[in-house]
Amino acid sequence: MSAARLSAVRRGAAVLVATLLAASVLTPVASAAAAAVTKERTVTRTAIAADGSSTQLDRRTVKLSVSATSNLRGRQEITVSWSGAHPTGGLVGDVNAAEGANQEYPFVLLQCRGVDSTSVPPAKRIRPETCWTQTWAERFRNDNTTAYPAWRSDADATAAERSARVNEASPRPKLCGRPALAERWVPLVGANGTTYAGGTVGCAGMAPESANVGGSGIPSNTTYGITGKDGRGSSRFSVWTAEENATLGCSSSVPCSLVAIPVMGIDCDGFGTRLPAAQRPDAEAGAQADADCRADDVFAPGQLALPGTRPNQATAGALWWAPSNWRNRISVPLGFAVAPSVCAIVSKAKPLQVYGSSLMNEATGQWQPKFCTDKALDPFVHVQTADTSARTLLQAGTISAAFSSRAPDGGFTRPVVQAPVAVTGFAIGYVVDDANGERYTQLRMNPRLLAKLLTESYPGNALVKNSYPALSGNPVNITLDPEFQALNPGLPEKTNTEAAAALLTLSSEADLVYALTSYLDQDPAARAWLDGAADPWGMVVNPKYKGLDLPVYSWPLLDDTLAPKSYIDGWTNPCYSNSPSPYLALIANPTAFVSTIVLNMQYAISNVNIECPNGDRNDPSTLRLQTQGRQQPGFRFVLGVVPLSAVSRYSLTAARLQAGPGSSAHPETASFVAGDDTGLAAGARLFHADAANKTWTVDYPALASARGKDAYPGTIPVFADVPTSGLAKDDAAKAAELLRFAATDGQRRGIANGQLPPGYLPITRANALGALAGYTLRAAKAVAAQQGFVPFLDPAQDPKPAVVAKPPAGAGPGAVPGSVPGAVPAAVPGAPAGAPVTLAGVPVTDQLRTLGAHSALGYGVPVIGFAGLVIGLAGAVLRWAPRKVRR
Amino acid sequence: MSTLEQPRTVVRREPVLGAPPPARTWTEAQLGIARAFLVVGVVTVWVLVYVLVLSAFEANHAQHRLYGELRTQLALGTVPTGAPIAGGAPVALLDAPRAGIDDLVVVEGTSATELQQGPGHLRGTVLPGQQGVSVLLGRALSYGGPFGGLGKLRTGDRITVTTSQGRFSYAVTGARRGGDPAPAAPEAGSGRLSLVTALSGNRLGRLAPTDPVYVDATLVGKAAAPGPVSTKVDDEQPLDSRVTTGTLAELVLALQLLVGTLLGAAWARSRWTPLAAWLSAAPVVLAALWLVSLLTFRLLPNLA
Repeated sequence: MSAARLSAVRRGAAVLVATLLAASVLTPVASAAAAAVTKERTVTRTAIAADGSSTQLDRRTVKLSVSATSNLRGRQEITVSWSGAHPTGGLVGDVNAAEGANQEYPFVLLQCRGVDSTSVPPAKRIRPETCWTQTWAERFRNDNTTAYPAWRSDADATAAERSARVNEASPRPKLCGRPALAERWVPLVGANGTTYAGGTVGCAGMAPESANVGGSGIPSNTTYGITGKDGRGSSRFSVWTAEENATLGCSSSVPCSLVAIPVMGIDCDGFGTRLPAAQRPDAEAGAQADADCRADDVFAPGQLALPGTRPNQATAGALWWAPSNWRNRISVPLGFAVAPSVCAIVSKAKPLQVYGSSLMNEATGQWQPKFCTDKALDPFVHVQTADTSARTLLQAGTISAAFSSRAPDGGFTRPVVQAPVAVTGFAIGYVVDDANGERYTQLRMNPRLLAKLLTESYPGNALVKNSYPALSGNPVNITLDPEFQALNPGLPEKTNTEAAAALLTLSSEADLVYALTSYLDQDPAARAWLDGAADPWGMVVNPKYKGLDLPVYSWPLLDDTLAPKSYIDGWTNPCYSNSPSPYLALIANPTAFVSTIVLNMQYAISNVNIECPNGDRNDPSTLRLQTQGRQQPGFRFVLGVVPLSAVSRYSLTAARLQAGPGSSAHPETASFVAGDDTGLAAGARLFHADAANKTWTVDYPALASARGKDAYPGTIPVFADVPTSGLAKDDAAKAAELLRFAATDGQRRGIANGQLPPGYLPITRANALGALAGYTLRAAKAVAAQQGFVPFLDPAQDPKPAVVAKPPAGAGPGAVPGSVPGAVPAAVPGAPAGAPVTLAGVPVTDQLRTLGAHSALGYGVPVIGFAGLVIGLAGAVLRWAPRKVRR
Repeated sequence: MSTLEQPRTVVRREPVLGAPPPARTWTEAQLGIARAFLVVGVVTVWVLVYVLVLSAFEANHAQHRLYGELRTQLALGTVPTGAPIAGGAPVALLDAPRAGIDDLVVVEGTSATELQQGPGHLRGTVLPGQQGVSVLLGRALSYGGPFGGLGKLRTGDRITVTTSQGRFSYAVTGARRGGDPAPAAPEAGSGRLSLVTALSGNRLGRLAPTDPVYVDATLVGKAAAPGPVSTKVDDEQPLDSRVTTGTLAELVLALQLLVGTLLGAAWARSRWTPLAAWLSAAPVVLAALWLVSLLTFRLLPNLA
């Protein structure tokens, strides 16, 4: 056990060393936009002898650098790096876990409400009580072996803070048991003033977001950072707003700080020379307390934690709140951007609801607050729904505007303009640790590998491999696939990581999935493999997916094979035996929300749904399968489909994808392109102008050809679909305003509200997208006019503005377009564009036609009736007539 | 005088040809064809009887059950106001006196199976009474032909719909067929109801449901807030048919049952008295035939 554990710890620790490098590669734009903050501070540790003389034990100058401190948003990861700190000992694998507090000399990072300034009232200053920790053990200490543990020897503490029991819950709940010899409680004060006393296992109350009260589903951001032997270290720190953690409650109006505490150890005053005489320990106890406080460290710097070994209490991270450590803090104020939720408070106007695409989440997250705080703009809200249902609702007239990335199959049957508002894409997010346990950042993927993951063609584990003959020849997971190894040499082979056999995708419908599956469909190697041809290494497609028709809006789960009967009957996994279901579908386990995939990719959470913790065979209510949850640092491997905009927003890592034609036998020779501005711009250059449907589409055949060698194949345009007839005047004006903004100010890159976040390619002339921006501006006019006119892609085809502005009587909103006397439809959906448009005085409209259908079977009843009558008559004649003739 | 030999009677002992004249074999074939024709005629009569009479029984039975269900759910307030709604669940009560529609229960979904119970609400549109366009489909001829009388509606006629959000009154604005101009989307806060059935353009009218006919009606008064809308299903549009393996499998089983009962009837006829055979076999054969017809109709276009 210990060997495996130790190697896990070593790898986990190594992750941190690589993090600074990784983060700087991943968020070039974000870090460039928000300047880094650097601070320096000299920290000391002293000891006081029995005679009151003090000796300085240690003195260091710590430099702290924080990558971004302004315009922060929820769950954004900032990079914190430091130098000059005391090297850490007793290293743990996961620096965000509570066990990290048992390290000696960790570099503790906390998010605390308040600022570190004497110019604000005390209630708004940071103190340990306003700092967040996820578990009770990080803010409660007790000792039953001695009445004078290290924190009572703290020279910097006041006399009250050095008494036997500090901040004890009053009255002490029965649940908390009998008091120990010494206890130190560090209550948590919430943003609304509620105090959570904590105590053993939270016996006196804990914040609702705490780990064992259900939790918020997000791993802790409290970091017990590891300082190397050279005094340097770095870590990524996930900042939270009130939306993630209401108790902490940080927002644009509630200031918060990042507090870094370089733990130096307690300033020892075991003899109590700074205490009033009455409170001093006696000579014997004082000598013991002094020895305890000055005890040697258990671990050498850089040494890994040993299971069951307790650290030196005086230098452990668990005492981060002790005044000796707290006084050494370096705090950096965090500035949060105004969140979209502010709109509900500041704006009384009814916002325009725009339904649809999750690809727009980050852009509208920055646009919405601008719209509701700027008096010149009317607010809108982005209601995230499936693209397909947004289009259906728009078609039906239920909603006024939608974000989506395609025209509906067969086109809209009412005049709807599809105005480009963003160019973004999908990305394959991942967290993969390399052979050294460091985070891998060079992942390359190609369509055939994605097809292999999506089609449930990797068995995932030995159980399936041994029992499913059709898949038994395939590698257990992607890490053992020679094709993957050719693209990503040197990654460790995993034999029992089911998550490496799945690509976490959406179970709901999305244009994002349509784009991904179009990409698979157009690649000759992937298509041939899907149609049943083995890859050069002999791997074949899961027979249930053979010949699958692509593209699709949502990925189907087709494999319905259960685990072998012996496994079910053997109750090896009671939850599974209780209710067996298709096993490979549990490994794939797609989720309904993009946000879940993003969360899983940020925190390396495996969505494989085959765990059965504490299942009691006799109690079916406990037999519920659970997902595997967070993976151990150093051994992580998760893959998921995410919007490109989420990559920089949450500091995810995204794979480079094969662009242009690939080689089936030598996949590594293909060109691989990242989803950065260059890749997106090259992808956008290949957009196909679909004049018939008046929209732009992604040209997948061109992407798969040599022309697409530099283009990011995940590029997707997002349109605002708005009807140009039938909208209420108010909604039409708001929608037109949104389109105008999206074509101009909304395309300025930046992380402040009202700007375009990274992950979107600005639709500007500089990026050769002037035609798209121009179309959106013309669309805004058509939307404002509401005369059923849909602009042509080519501005030269649009009628003169004067003509459009003067509609004939009766053609206002709500009128049946065809009822205008003499109006001849100029462009019936599906008819070639460029039909005559010069119809004097009449706006050119897309004529709406009732959908027709015909079924010759409808004639069935009369035909059958008639035919039956004739045949029956003929039969009767034949049966009875001949006898009479013969006689 | 010469003696004349008297002719003597000769008894011939060879077998006499007892075969019937050749015309007899032709009659045998004639009889076979005649029987086949008669069977086709009987099956035809069955189909007509099923379409015009028996399917209506079935729909009435379903309506009776659905009415009870809807009444209870309206009382409890548990009638769904938006997706997801299970296919075939009652969603509204429809009245259109001029079209002969009297308290018909509208079910969710418009596949052939769901329309066997009564009018269906097209998935992908809002529910009746809600803001937006709501579309209801109904058969014109079979299964009681709930929408067979749509042709009698005139502009201005009232259509009443009762859902859990209240009672809504619509005024008919017009009818249209495929290719006719579609009305513009209703304005915000207003709702439209389209009743769809299939009638042919000629005199046979409802007897030949070949092309869809849309009757549009505008909501009088204020529309209710729209609930979530389910995804549009492609093969549930007017006159679409859906052949699912499930229905096919059921049909195969039903056909096996029919063949089995027929064989049993033949066996009984050879052993028992004709009366006993008829009495015992006829109901079983009819039941099997009914089942086969019911399942076959699920494969046909939904409005037929």
